[in-house]
Amino acid sequence: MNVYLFEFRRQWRSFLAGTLTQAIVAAVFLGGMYPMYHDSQKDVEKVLAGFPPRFAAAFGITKDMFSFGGFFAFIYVYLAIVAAIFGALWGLKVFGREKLDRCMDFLISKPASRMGLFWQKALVVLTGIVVMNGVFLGVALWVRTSVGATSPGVGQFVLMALAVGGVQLIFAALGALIAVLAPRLHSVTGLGVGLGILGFVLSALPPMTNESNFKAISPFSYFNVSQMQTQGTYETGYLVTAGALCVVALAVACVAYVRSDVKA
Amino acid sequence: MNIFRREMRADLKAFIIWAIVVAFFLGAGLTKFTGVKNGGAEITDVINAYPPLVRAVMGMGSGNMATFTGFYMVMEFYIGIILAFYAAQLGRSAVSREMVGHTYEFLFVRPRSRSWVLSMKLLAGAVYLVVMCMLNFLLSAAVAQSLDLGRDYTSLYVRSSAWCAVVGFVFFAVGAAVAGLVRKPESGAKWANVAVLVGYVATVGYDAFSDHEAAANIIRVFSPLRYTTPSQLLAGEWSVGYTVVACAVIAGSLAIAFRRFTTQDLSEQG
Repeated sequence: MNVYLFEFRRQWRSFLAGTLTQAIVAAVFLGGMYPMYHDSQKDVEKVLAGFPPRFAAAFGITKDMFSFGGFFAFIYVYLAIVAAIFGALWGLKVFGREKLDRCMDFLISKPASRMGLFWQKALVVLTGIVVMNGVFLGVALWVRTSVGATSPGVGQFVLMALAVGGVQLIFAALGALIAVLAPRLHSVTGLGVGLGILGFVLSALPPMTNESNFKAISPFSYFNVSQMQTQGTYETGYLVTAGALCVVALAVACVAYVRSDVKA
Repeated sequence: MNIFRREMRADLKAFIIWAIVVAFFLGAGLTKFTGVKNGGAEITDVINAYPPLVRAVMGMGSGNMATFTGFYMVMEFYIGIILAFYAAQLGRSAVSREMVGHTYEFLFVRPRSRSWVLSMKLLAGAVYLVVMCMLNFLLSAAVAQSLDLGRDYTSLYVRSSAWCAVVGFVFFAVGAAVAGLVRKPESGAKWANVAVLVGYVATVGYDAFSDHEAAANIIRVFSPLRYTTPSQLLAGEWSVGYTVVACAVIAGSLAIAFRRFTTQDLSEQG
């Protein structure tokens, strides 16, 4: 428990920063811009009326697109990048702290199993993720009520919003893996933000190229938010991929953490 | 020259990683461009029916994705974001590498002035930046060659790589200045990344308010990615005024970096 409390004390400011950032992003995008988006429905429909009906269907333009959920699917990438950056940062920082401060011997010489240390650290990161996404979910649902959106229903919208937490879990696990495997760590901010930006850039490939194979390398795309909105399901294969990636990254990190030699 | 060589070696790993990302992104993205799709004009009409703010947020502010040039501009926008981040990283690590690695004594016992040391460090970073922009040009040209577009867009690739260089050097200098201004390297990293983020948000803001000229021009100062806009690049124009702004930002930032680097106490904290 000591390690959990210590790590939490060192991390809570960063948890707060992440939570506030995400709450602001959600409030600005969902609360500030959704009404404008919704109002543009008439103009877009006017333009569409001039085309053959098949056209709208071919380009995936539906009435649903103008719902709150449709807008959420558009701005999901902004929420995902914030989540990814903070997730990666926390994983890197918490699991790399002793390497960064060069005090590995101090921690490892305590009468606690390394496995126990690893999971206490993991629990701290998980705490941050749960808090950040809990607050984000609260803000998103509050905005949903206050703009009077009815579609999608609460349950379905929560499932859509959970994609953001899923992305964060993946990046936190990757961050932890890198922190444990790296022989030396000097600075984690650049690494964490780099991972997040990489995820953002890769997420542009599948929609731009219509090539679904690219989804495999784009963690943001593992959660198909627009399919969740229109059909109420995520793509099972990618959901399994996301889960497997988390589990494998954590398992490898755990084994490496427990077995590796410690450099004083 | 030794310092220069040592800096080149220290920056090599990050360069290789980001070069692979750029190469993959351009290679994978551009080869998948399938030509002008049916309904290209109609989809543009539909997109234009949205308010500009919504278009900017949805990432549709940069042009018509159905044409090759519009598609290329969107690709280049992402390359610009990568370069902004990479350049800020290069700039700040040039200034704060010794502090991060606890290697002050190693470097400053050498018979070189601090401004010489920083010049060599920044030169190494600048070389990598230029190579990255050239890579962008070469890859664009090579991949487009294989696409059989029926037209030569070489001048667009040149302009757009020059745009990458402007974006890169602005953030390179800002990263160096930020690293000089803060005491702890870790907070230097934080603020350099915040600067990139501000640049990105300002870019979306500029796209959103581009029809309000006064507001847009103020936002544009904070948005190096829009010093020359995609529509200007496509039209073969170059924004001279904002290139002057870019030069001013670079000169000012470098002045701060040099001043701080040459006068700082050598402490071992962080």
